[in-house]
Amino acid sequence: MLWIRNLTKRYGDKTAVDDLTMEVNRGELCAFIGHNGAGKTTTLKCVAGILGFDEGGIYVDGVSVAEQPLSTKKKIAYIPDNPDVYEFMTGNQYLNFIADIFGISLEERKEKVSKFAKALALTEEELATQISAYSHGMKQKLVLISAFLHSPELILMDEPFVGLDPKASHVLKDIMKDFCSAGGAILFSTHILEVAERLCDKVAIIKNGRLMKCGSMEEVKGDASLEDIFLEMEAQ
Amino acid sequence: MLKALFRKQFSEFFSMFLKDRRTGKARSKGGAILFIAIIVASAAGIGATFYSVAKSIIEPTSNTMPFLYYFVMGLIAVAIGLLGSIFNAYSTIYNAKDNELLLSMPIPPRHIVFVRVATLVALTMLYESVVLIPTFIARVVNRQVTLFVVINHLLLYFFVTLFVVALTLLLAFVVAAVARKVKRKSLVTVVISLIFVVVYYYLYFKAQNVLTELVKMTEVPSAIKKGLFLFYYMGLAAEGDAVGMLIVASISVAAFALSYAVITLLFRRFAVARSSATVRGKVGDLRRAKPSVALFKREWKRFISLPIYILNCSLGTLIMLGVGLVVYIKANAISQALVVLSEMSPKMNGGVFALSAVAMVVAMNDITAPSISLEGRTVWLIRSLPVSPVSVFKAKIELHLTLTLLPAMFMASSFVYAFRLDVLSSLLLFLTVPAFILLTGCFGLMMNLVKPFMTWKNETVPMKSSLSVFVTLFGAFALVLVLTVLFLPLSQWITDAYYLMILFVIFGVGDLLLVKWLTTRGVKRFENLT
Repeated sequence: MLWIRNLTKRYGDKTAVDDLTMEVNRGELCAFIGHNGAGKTTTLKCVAGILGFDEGGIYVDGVSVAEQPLSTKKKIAYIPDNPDVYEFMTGNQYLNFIADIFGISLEERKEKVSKFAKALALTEEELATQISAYSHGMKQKLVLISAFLHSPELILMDEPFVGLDPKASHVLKDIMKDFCSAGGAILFSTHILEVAERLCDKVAIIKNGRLMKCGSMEEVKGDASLEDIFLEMEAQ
Repeated sequence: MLKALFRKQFSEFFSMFLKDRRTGKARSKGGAILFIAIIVASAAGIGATFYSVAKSIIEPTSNTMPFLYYFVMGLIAVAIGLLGSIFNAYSTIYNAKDNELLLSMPIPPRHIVFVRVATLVALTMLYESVVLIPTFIARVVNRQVTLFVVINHLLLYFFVTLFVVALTLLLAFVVAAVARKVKRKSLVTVVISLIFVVVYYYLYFKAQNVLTELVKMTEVPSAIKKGLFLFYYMGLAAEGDAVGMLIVASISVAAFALSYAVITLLFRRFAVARSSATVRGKVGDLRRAKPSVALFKREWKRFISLPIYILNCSLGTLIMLGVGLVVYIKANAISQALVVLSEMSPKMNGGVFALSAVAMVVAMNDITAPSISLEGRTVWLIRSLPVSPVSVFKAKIELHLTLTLLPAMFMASSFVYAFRLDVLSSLLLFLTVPAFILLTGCFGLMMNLVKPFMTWKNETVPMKSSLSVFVTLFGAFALVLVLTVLFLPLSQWITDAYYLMILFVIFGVGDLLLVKWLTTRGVKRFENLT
């Protein structure tokens, strides 16, 4: 589903992502872990088509992100680490905007909004409220609902559990698992290694822009815990 | 504790001089000195204006009613002080970002209020100085000075400030109370600001007549003495009257003490209060629109949610409607301008004059100039969606056209009517105006793509401290001015219609070049925004 080949992204003299190669296949839930500033967000933004890159290639379902960004964006949903959304809109207006951009029918958007809003406990009254009155968690829930509106095939999530209440976190984990079981692929960054260990079947560890390890959870951690492996790598 | 609070408050105040508001970085020593010099020079310029006002009052009142001098200047000082301080008071006391932080610490709320009000007094004294220092100088230069006069002027400086702060605190309290209850804050802000602008200009134009009438009087009517008794006593005090000084001091201190007590009592409630009025849409309001419509609606919603955007970038819309209406009503009087024009050149029929007038006001609508910067931290969203940058640009330009085109055509039609323009000139005017509107819209967008500022914390910054807005606004003014001035010598040989045709071609070529730039290099720049 997602192929990243020799991706290099520089900010001036600083190389944020250095010759990174990895892939996430359909049905895979892949955790992307690394220290602060390791290059996780930059990689996710390059895949989402938000950032350009200097070398290498990114392909979504065989289509190049650099060459056909609009085609790949139709298959992707991106959820940022900080849910900065349009505070001048109500929740419904925001969801309408996203659905309009993806050309989603009225019936489909009603069904999806109802399903995911109910699951994430965002009420109809809250959706009718201006986003400027939302808490961080409510904004995060709204972004999550909007991400599923167009039935994406690949979801990129940057720290998706930050700000969510325990129930919403639990629901989100179920949604993520269901999505991958249905043939979707997820690449998400997280600092909560226990969640990554329990939830994911694949893990990629990045350090200073370079991919240190990538493989199935068993391959990467063996008998040790993911935390041990991560700390060991950080110490190197 | 108070010392630490004062230090924080003053470092916040002085950061305005020492830090660049746009980037948050410290200014260089030279930059800080230059910035302070500009502010001092501006204050001196404003002070010079008030000195001329003071001088025009002091001379005719010296022999008849000497107290009238400070009576008028006191009124002006209070008005200026209120004007400058009311929003400062609101943002410093009720809307300060660190209210919750300070209240979470072991600091008595009365200490926070004390420090904030003290800062407000200092700021108001600065505002007052542009009126009261020239007032004092004009008094010293033009009339005999006694020790009591000097002392009383110094005391008045302090007590006028105290009185202004008292009024400001109460008015800001009302603003805070209203802000908590009002749902459509942006609409209310726009309406209040517009009323304020209209009243300001009305008073500005009327003030000269009122002052002339006042200084002509040999005796001030008792109604004014009673109604504005504080200013009457200010006038007496400024001439050395001890009783007048005592009355002014008592009233100012009493008013200040009352306001201060109210603020201290209610500070906690207001400082951490969340607005009880939240904008709500309809429950379950899901509806479908085309992507292009969705993008336009996004721009529209952003526009109407930001009063500062409406007031700074689309005031031209209202002015065009207003001027158009006035021109229609006063068509006969306006047509007299043709006499002046025909004296310059017999060929002139008012077509170019009409275009210049419309274009000057169109230039005030710089809606696209901050529109890229306004994406700010939400730019990730539009960049992650499957929409082309060109369709995003289109929506921004459409907003500019929507708000500018019809009012501009209305204003243009009013000149067609007033000047009885011939068919060819009218047709060319109606073609040139839209071409110029498109030009300003595309130019503003281009400038903002060249000089975007995405990391702002407050929308005011991309609107007020932005190079793209500055260049767009003054670039458009300069273009209109140059093209108008150029026509003056050319009008000896060519008619308005010919010149309008040339301008239409110039604007049309400009439009094409800008559209070409936006769809090529502009797209690349947009794709690099993060």
